[in-house]
Amino acid sequence: MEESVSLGGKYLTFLLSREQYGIEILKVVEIFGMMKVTAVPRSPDYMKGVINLRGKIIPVMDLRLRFGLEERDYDDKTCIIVVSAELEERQLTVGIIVDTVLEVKDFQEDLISASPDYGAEFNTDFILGIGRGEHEEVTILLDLVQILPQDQVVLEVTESEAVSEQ
Amino acid sequence: MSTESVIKALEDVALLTVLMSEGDSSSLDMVAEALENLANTLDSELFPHLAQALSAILEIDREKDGALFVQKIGTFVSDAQSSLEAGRDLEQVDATSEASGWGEDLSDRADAELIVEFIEKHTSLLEEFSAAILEKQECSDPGELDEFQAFLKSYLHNLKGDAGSVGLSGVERVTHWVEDRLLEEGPLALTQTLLNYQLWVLSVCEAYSAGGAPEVLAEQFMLQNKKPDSGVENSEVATEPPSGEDAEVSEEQQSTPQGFTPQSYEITGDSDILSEFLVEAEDHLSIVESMLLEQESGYSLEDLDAIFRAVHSIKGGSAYFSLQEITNSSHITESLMDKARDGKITFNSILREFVLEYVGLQRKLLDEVKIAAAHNSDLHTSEQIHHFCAKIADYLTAVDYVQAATDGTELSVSSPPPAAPAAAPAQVESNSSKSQAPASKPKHEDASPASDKGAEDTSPSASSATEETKTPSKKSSEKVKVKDFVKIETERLDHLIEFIGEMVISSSMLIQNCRDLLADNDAVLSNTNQLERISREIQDIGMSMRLIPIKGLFQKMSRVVWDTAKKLGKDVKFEMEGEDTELDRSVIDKLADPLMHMVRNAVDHGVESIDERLEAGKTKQGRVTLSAYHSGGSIFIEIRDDGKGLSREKLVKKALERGLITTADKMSDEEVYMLIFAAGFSTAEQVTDVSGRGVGMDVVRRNIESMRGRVSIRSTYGEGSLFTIELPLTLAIIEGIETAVGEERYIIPSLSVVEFLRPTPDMIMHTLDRGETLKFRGEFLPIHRLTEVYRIPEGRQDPTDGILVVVEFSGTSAALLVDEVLGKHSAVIKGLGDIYKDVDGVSGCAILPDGAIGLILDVGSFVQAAKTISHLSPTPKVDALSLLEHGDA
Repeated sequence: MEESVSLGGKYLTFLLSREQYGIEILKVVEIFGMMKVTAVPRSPDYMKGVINLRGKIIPVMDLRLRFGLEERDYDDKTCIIVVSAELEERQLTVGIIVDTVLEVKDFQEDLISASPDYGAEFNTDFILGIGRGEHEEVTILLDLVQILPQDQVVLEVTESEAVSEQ
Repeated sequence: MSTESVIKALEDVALLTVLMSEGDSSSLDMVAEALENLANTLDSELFPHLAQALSAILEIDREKDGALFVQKIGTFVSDAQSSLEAGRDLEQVDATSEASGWGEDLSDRADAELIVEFIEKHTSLLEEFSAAILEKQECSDPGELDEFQAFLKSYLHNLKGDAGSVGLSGVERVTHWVEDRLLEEGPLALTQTLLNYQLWVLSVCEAYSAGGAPEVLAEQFMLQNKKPDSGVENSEVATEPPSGEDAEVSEEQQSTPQGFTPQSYEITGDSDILSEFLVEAEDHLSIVESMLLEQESGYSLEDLDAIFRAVHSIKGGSAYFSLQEITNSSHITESLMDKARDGKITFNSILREFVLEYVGLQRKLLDEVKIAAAHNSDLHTSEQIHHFCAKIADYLTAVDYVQAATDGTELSVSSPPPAAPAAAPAQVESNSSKSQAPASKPKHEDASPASDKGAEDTSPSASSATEETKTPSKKSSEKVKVKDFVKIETERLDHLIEFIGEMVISSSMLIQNCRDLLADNDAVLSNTNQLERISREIQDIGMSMRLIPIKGLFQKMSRVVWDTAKKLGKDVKFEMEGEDTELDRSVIDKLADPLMHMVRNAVDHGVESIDERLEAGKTKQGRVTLSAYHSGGSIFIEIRDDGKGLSREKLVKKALERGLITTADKMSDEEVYMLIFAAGFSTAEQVTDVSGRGVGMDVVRRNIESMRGRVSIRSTYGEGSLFTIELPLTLAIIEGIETAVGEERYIIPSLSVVEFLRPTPDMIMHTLDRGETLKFRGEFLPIHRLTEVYRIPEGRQDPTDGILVVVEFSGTSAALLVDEVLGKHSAVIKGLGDIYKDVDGVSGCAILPDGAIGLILDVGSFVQAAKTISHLSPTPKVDALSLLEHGDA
């Protein structure tokens, strides 16, 4: 996490299960409703597949499954937020599926507190900070780069499965 | 003590050595003085070897042993110059002074960008150049040879000009030298030198593009490749020039025209163009003349360039009409201007007079041509022109001579070459050709021992000149198709093509919508038809922009054949067919390696040794042919040799030994041949440094398959083999069969599909060891369900409900179960992005005409994956990575 960079600014907030999350607005490319996702085989189930965004192929990730939350059927409120972030000098564009998109909120620096420390057992790297709203409601500000799959997400066919079988 | 000052001192010595003669003690004293001066300047720690040599020379008794002294100095000067050059490189002194340019210093004029452009342009042209040399090696048709020589000449000339203009003076010098030798010896005698020359220029280019200095300097190259007998002729020249430059000097002297007999020659070419030429030539001459008359001295580089260009244009035009006198006199004047332009000689009053005389003579000649053309009569060579040429040639010889010693110091009139003591000063000082005619005669007689030989091949008015001048005319009329090119970064091109692909997809979706919704509107229908046609055309153009002829690749292979054959002591002729066939650039790039392996193998394993060939009743010379052609949306590349062919027995034996197969009873010949592509298979009796390690063919096959291509072999034992590579036209587009599996679409490349069928229950067999199999044409093919391998819900499970697609890849077949076959498409291939990499069995995806995404099946890896998976439980555990629970995942 970049300590020195100011975290204050505009965030796009959305709902996942009962929690509110926010991502930096500058990293959001586009938002649209759920569309047909072509499944890509041999990948973890949070990677839903690819979509055709005006001729561009964009991988899509289900944020619920990414966070280990319970899967839920998509409805007319389900949205795909297309985000773009730089990861190791590559520009990665990924769609993330969320329950509902809420609004764009401005969090001043003093409204953001550091991510809580739950101890070593819990990884909180993906949390930039916690944003407090006017009515003390809490928004978890996400670090996109930490959410994006770090490596290729394709499963190896041979090793784990083959071993478990034999 | 800077190396620069040493070089300066050395130059003084070099200059004086030109003037010294062993009999003239005062000249020797002057040299000795300069040498002492040099010895004082020279840092003996930096150049211990030179310092030692220098003191040895100074110890020689000049009075008694003048000849030895002179000889030692000659050797010393050239040694010293090359070592100083090296020393200077070490010091990294920015060597801009041309005066000491023994090395390949990029002068101030050399612009890095220009050099890059030069490299880009000439790397491929040089490949072509060497390919042409190899091709014509055994040519005996004189007409063809003339044409070939003209080609080489014009290319070398081009290269020389380009090298000069970007400041690669070393390349320029060597090219000039090669040009001269080409004229003198003819292309066939020069094959090795020309090939070396090509490699050398490439190495220089490479060195510069890497920011370093070339390993072999220009002068070293010329020394290494000098004409074998040049030393002998040299001994006939009165004063011995410094060693190392013998070749150049003696050649220059040979090219001095000797004796004169008037000859007649005729004008060739179209009279309309001729009159155009005459007008243009007049224009050029007036420009040159007015420039020279306006200003008496202080010409800028641009001025000199302009004069050079004018002379050059006249030369080129006159050659087309076989106006040999104009050509010859222009050629020599051009050489003169070339030197002036490069700063090797100063454009002083003498040169100015030369050029003015040239202008006058040209006017006269042009008038003669006009008259001759009007009366349809022949032209006669005149003594005047002959003398003019001789005069300048002598002057150039003098210049070269001095340059040979001092390389680049300005020529002053007072340092005439020792080789032409009487003639040169007379010529230099007088402008009228008449007055110096008697002066030059004695010189010709003096030099007669060498001249008899030189006269026949070098006299510009002799028959060789007419031959030379005719060929370009033939060439230029044949090769008029000059194309204009625009250089575009490939990245931008790829970008454009990507967008064209997207446009094609969107327009086809739009067209579909229009047809569905507005089917009864005629205007909409006709406009959509129009749009469809245009977008298809744009797509074709887009694709064609990536296509380049395979010629360049084939030409590289000619070199491979030549090198390999030479190394193995075989005699192999290389031929190519269909080299204009165009392929996607990326395909050509990827094809280079596998093709090289296969061609090498053809020469090594295919073609027999000379003895074996003669024993088998074949011609001594083997043959390797590369051909390329289009057929049915694919490109075929064939490598054919007339060697011993593949032996089924040997292959089977080897394969059994290596445990690659257990029995060969049921294998077809083709299947047996394909064994050579198996990993770890090599039939070469011994491992040579050319081939035989059994990795090559394995890699070849993998490379080709990675391009969605395939290889097949046909062979007749004792007669030769034919390897065929089949490749898709482009890597950007795939021809595929669209199939539906559950809700997903999969595209199976057409190249892999053998057949579709809806099986009847009796075609499906269940075996214990291999699972479900399809009985297909007497074979049992494993059945793989896409639904099972890829865990797609809702797909059909029963083969008799769906369609079995029989696929074949790398010699193995399988049947894939899909729900339906939807159609055939050619689709733009897209990657799945960085996140999805190396999905087993999926090579990418494509956007289908309805906007849906179809995944492209890579049959080979799919079958591999299926084999592993089909034994496994239908729902293997998939880890849902939960950041909250275990972040380290």
